[in-house]
Parts: sequence; structure tokens; C-alpha cells
Amino acid sequence: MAPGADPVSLLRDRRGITTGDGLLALSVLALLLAATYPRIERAAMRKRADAIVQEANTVLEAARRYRVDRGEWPRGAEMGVVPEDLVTFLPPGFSFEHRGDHLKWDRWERVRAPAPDSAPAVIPELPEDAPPPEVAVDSVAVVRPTVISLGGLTVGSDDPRVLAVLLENFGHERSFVRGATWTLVVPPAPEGP
Amino acid sequence: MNIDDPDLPVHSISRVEDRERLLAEAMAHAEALEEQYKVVPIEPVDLSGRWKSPVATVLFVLAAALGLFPPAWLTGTPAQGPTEGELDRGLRAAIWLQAQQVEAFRLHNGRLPASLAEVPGSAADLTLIRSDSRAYQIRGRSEDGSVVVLDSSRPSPVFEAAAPWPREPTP
Repeated sequence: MAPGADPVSLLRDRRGITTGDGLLALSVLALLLAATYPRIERAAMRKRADAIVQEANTVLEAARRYRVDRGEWPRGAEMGVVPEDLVTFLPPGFSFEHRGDHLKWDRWERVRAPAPDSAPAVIPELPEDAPPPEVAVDSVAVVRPTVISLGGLTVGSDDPRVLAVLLENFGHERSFVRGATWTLVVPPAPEGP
Repeated sequence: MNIDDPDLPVHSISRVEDRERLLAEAMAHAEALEEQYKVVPIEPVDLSGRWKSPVATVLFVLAAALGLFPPAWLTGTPAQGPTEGELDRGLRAAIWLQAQQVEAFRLHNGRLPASLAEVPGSAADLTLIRSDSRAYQIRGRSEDGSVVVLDSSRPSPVFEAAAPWPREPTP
């Protein structure tokens, strides 16, 4: 500043930035931000959902390979924890936690009662069970339900839109959303495309 | 003769020094008067920047409105969470899935589990209530707060319909 120059008059200099200029620039910035934020936020959510869909597919693929290899579904673990059985079947460093979303693997069962018109299973007759020759034997049949082993993948997310994307991707027939979780039930038989 | 007397006529002052002194005093007085009544020029007021603040205020208000209530043309089709129907079906599917775990547990162990903690994949907010050694209920709470109950002795078909696997063909 030149000696003797009045600082107030310097501030009023037309060549400087005034309060009005600053406010105007800030308001334009705020307007741009407000106009673009919804799309940016939506794109970020979609990216997050796509990432979790990808991770879910990776876990499913690993679980299926485990089942082919060992003849059963891998054992379950707590939410966010990679099941011990799956460690060697997943890519190195794979995590069940991803930016606020958590994965959980479970091994479930389902009971299927035989259809009423199906032929009942006949209990095999062992030699020691043989009745005395004088006793007439009726055919003895016992109808027993079948237990089917299922795999189960659950994703917990704080964003319900992520759960909706998972539901849309994996279908309403095999998966459902409840509260802050999405659950997929994996049947034992490999499914078609 | 006292030359400080204001009523003294000028022509009566004969000495050069006195005349010069009086002249200097008169000049000084005139300068003082001129200084006193000098017209101070008024600085021109710059009105060119006055429009910026109102425009900035309007833009701020517009930005706030867009941020709080973004119109559809700006956001495109907004991504939605699960619908109420999907959440309702999800609760029934979860209860049915838990019932299947209880039934499988019964087949393996010949008894009912004491709680859902004994079966895999137990949901924290579902409750198992044993009616007797053979019958039980599984209860859950829907989003609207109502209680949904599956009774093992008379399971409603809506639970099986919500099962997360393809329906068995009916004979």
C-alpha cells in the first residue's frame, strides 16, 4: 500500500472484488451444486449398488464351487465376516464389508413334504425285523419329509435403494427385502440362466 | 497612534511596515475565509454494483429450493427403495424361512428348538413361541407396527406363497 493511502478507498476501488461480487459468485456456485447434486448422488448410489451386486455374485460363485467340491454348502458366519469355508474359494483379500454394506453367508434347510399322491417310501426290511412265519405281513410304509439344504446370502445396507437394486437384480422369486436387509435363498440345484 | 484601532483610516498609516503588516493580515483573513467556505466536491456514488446483492439473494433462494425440493426434470427418475408390498412380502418370507429351519431342526433332533437362536440364520426381531411340545408360533413385526404370526398348527397359505423359492406344483 502506498504511504498515506486510505485503506477504505482502496477497498472501494472498482478494480477490487466487492462483497457483491463474492456473494454473486457464491450464489452461482450454490445453484450449480444444487442442480447437479441429485444426479451425482444417484450415480454414487448406483455405483455402490453395482459394486455390492458384483460382490454378491462373487460370493455365490465361490459358494457354488465349494458345494461342487465338498458336496455341501459352506457353513455360515456372522454378518460382515468371511466364512472360514469360503476363504480359499474367494479372491485374496475379499471382504464381507463394503462401504457401509455388509454381507452374510448362511446355510439353511428347507423341509419338503412328499406329495400326497406320490408313492410312499418303503422301509427296507432287515433280517432281524422279519416277523414269525405265521404272521401275515402287510406292506408297511412311512411317509417322511425331505430336508433340502439351501445356501443363503444376506446383505445389510443403510440405503434402501441398494436393497431395491439387489431385489431387482436377483429377482423377487428367490430373494426378499426385510428391514435393512436383503436375503437371497440359493437352491441346491444349479439354475438355468 | 495605534494602528490596531480598526476605525483608523488607512490613508493615515504612513509607515510601509505597518501597511505591509495590515496587508498580510488581510490576506491571511481572506485565505482563512476561503478555506472555511471551500466547496467540498461530493464523491460520485457507484451504483453499478448495487444489482449484485439482490441477484445473489435470488440465486441463493433458488439454490435452496432446488436442493430441498429437487424437481423431477432435474433428478430424472429417482431411485426408490423397496415398496410397502415388497417389505410386507419380505416379512412373511423371513417368517416362513425361519419356520423351515424350525421344522428341519425338529426332524434332526426330535424336538422343537427352545428359541430361534438354536437354528441357523435367526433374525433378531423374530420370536419363536412354543405352544406345546409340537406346536409353535413365529411372530414378527411389520413396518407399520402390526404383528404377523405364523401358527405351525394352521399355517396361512400367504406364508408359503411368499417363500423365496419356486412354488411346488400342486397335484
